[in-house]
Amino acid sequence: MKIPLSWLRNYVEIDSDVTDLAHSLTMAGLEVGSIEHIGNKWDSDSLVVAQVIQLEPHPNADRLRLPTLDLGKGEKAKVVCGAPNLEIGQKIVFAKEGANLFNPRSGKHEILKGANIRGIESKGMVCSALELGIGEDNGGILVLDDASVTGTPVKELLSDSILDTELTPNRPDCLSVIGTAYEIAALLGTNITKPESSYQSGDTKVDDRIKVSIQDPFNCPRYTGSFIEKVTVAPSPLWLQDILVKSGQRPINNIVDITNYVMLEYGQPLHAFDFNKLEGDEIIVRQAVECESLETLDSQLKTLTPPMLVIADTSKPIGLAGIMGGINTEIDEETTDIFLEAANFNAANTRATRSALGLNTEASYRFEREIRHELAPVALKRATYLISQLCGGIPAEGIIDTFNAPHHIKTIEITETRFEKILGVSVSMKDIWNIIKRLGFEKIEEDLTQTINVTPPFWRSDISIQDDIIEEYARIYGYDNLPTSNLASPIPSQGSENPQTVREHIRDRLVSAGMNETISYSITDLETINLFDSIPNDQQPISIANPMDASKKYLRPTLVPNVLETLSRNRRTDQQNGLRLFEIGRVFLPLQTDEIDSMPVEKEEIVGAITGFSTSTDLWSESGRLMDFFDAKGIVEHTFRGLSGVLSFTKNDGTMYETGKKADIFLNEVLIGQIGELKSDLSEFFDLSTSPVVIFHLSLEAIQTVAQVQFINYSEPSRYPSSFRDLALISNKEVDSESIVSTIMENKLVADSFPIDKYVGVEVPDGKQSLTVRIIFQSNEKTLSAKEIDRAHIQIIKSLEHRYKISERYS
Amino acid sequence: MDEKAYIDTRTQIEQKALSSLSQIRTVDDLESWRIDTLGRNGTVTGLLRGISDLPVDSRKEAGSEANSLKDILTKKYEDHKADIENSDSIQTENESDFLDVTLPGRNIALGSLHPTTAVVREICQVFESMGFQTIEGPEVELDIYNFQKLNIPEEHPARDMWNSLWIDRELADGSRPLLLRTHTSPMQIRTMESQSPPVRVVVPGKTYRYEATDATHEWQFCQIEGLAVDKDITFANLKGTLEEFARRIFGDKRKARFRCDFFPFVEPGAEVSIDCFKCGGNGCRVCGNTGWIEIMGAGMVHPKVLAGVGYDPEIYSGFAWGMGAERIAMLKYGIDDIRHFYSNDMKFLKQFS
Ligand SMILES: [Zn+2]
Repeated sequence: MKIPLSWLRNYVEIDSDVTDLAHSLTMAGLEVGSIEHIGNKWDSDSLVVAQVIQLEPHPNADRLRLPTLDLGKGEKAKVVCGAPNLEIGQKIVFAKEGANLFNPRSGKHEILKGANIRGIESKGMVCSALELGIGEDNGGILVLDDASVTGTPVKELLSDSILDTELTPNRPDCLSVIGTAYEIAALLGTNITKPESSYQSGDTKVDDRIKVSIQDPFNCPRYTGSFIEKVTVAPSPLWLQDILVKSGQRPINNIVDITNYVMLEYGQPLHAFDFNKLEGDEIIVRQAVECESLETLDSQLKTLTPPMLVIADTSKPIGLAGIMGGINTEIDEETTDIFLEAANFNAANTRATRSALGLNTEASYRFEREIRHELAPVALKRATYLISQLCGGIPAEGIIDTFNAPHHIKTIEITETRFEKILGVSVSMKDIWNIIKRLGFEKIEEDLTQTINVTPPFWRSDISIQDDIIEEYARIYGYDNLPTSNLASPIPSQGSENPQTVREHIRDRLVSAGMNETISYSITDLETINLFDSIPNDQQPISIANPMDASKKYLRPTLVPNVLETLSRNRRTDQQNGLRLFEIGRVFLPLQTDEIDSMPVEKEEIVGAITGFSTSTDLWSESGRLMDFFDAKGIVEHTFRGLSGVLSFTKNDGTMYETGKKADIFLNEVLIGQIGELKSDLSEFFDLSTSPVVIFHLSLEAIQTVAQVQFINYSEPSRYPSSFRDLALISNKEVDSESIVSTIMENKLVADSFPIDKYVGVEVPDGKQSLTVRIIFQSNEKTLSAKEIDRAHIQIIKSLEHRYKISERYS
Repeated sequence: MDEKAYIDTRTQIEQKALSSLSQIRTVDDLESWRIDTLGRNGTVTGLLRGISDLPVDSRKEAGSEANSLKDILTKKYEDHKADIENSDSIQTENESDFLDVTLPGRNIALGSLHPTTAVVREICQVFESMGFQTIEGPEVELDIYNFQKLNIPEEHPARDMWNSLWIDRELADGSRPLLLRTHTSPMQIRTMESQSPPVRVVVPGKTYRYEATDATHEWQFCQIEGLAVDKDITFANLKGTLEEFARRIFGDKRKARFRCDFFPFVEPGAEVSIDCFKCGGNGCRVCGNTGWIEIMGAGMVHPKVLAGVGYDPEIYSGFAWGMGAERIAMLKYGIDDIRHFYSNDMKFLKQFS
């Protein structure tokens, strides 16, 4: 909310610098987002109040005139002026040569120089609001109040600071100048002066002219109104227009401006109806009937439905309660008698109506934040007073006050012990009271004891319990002035099982294998989802009711496309380097039940993908090799080292993989995922066909059923030397290397064994392959002799022959 | 020399010969190896001669050991010779007499943690060292947990603070029970409902808002929630804990500032800022000329929230906070656009390796 400092000064004495004031307010919870300084560049000597004492035509130009100005202290000036609204007797702002002014033509601030205009010397000028930088209006010169004294520096008269407060939703009371003034009074330790609102009423009695019936007391707890006859609708006085403009409002006419002024002053929205446009003498507050419509003041026709609340006369709606008035009872130049409304409307219903109709107004903004009904008569009287003062109206005697709600008189007990328990420091009741009384709290007991009962000010709808008052004390005292201490209570015991340990081990291992971690969005489109059979055909992925982008409205049921999209995006910008990336994140499976509290199953997946050269081909030291299945497999193997469980791979085709180039991954017999080369149509879809893409796709949930971060299982290293033999074997192609190696490993003298070469070609018969395996022989008991190794060697060949019909290549 | 010592010598000769052979790349070096090993004065020949020094009954066994070694090494020699002769004899840099030490080293694939992961870990570790346990919760939440049990009833204007993405599912009364969680705060409720006090948890996780994206706003981001509840936890503890956090993440000299702020589930509520590490508080672009940088929201757990989960607010009190992980990462690493985080450009990600 924009609040001019000059307006605040009407209610509270402010002796501190505006920047310091803004800081104090911010620290206390009323964030001042910005301060607009008006006239801080004005020079006291060169900008002064002057009076037009003579006005002559320009000899050479019809549109220009030559005013003679009294600058006070016997000083006079004669200049050239083109403004049409200049008249003899006006008080205006005169800028002498050397004044710093805004030039609308150049759009910049410039120093004013003397000029010869059509043959007449002009030293200085009469200023418009735009040139002074206090308004948009450049149509004519700025006319000052008649009471302004000639010769006064304009800086003293018009300079101001406008605070722009950004309020949290709990403080509707500060959507007002007076509410903000209370905060300032508490912070600066001063008192509040309330504005005048008692007026002289005429002979007419309000009850004789109009009646108010409330049909929906829940949504309208209170309705107050006054009747004012014989008003003259005209533009508002300059001071009122000025204050509204500074507060961000557009002046309309004196009646409407006063309702806006009082709304800003007290935070209570008001509305004035042209009484003579009403049918009947009754105001009815009721819910709209189905398909009823109302043209609001902004000339929009709105179709209404219950439970939207309307203000109606005996035949039609005349206003949308708490939001905006109807055009059918608008105040215009012909208006003479008005009915003024200050009511209270239910916050939730106002909010629901304004969001359904897309009509967010100053009034609805305040009502939906729950303002107190006690404010209605206060603001009504103030506005009635101002109308009687400024619009020549005669208020009827009495006001209408239809009232169905209890008063918000709530007594709250506050104790020194609770303050200490929450704040961690002992505070005396005297110190507490000294702060909260300035915020408008009242106390029941005369004396200040360790426990007292207080009532919060009625306009503070946010205070209902003792802890709210603790915050009041703390924020005015200053959070930064309160003590600081570390947690002293005992640390709660924690179980040893931490579900994140395995996942974080995997994440670290993937990174150490040269993989780059990515994080993508959880929402995707249906086309992408349908490329992968991640959910059963008869089920729909979970969708968003109000997506930001209509095409992306589904929660991802698989992480694979996200990783492929990331891979693709990076391939587009980098054709050179190999890409290795992975993501660990949640996928969302369709809801299985209709229970009110049913939630989708969320599962964590780990997806990695690699493509391109294993190292850059452009380096002097490397020859370049495209990454393949075994690079990805190596990464997976590396990842599971340090976890309990034995990893194994079984060939098994899958829909998104190239036939024959995919395996299921097991950890201790439990299926934990897949690894394989991406099918070519999918590579093409993701624009990744330049080199094979190998992906692995793991379920964290499955992994966690088996794996734990391994406790190191130490065994004494052998003290005896090892020897190795390489064994070249001819086998059927179907026999995989893992079967061969595990057969070899069964021999007691074998410490390790692994394939070192694989060959299929002219020297090997069709359907056969040659596999060379290295066997490391070692014993924990002694140095093995060649004879013992030979014997073991023969045993190994025998079991391979027996089990898989494998023979030695060179035998 | 006895038989055992003889076999040990044989094994040593084998190991040494094979390991030196494996490093040989030139025919000349190979020929020297042959002479040293299998030549007339070579080690294997020496071994064979040594048989005569053994007791008679060991000689047959030893002879077969030594001969098998000779066979193995001869075969290896021939294989290796063929390898060298077949390979293109490119002389690599390493084999020249003179290394150009300024050539770049061989490339090693560089992995990296996503900066969000890195900063989440760092933050959680700070709190873990103060006795907090890291836990996680669901990303699709019930309205009840995301709002209602946090003292944010339906149609409350405070809901505007969290614009929500709702799941397409309606109950009979037309209300939508599910949404993508807008903050990690529902885990305050879930944690307290599942255990009795004392509680000390830190909860990282993805959160979602219906929000236009710009340099400082993302609709998906990671939040880190914290909660401590016990019999004697105070606002002073809140300040102490979060100040300690600020110093550990942003450096010893950082000052934390607490100002009043509003979140419906805490009372009193606070916004925590640190003095700008860029300008030291004088005002600059990073701190928007205020000298202070907002890092999180915090407060004492609202008595209604405690009562709602069955904790007696007369006995128990606690504090909670929530911060954006990407925001902390941006401040820590000087990243000026939050959109980098989910664009996953390798040129961005690899800087965090
Ligand atoms: Zn700064």
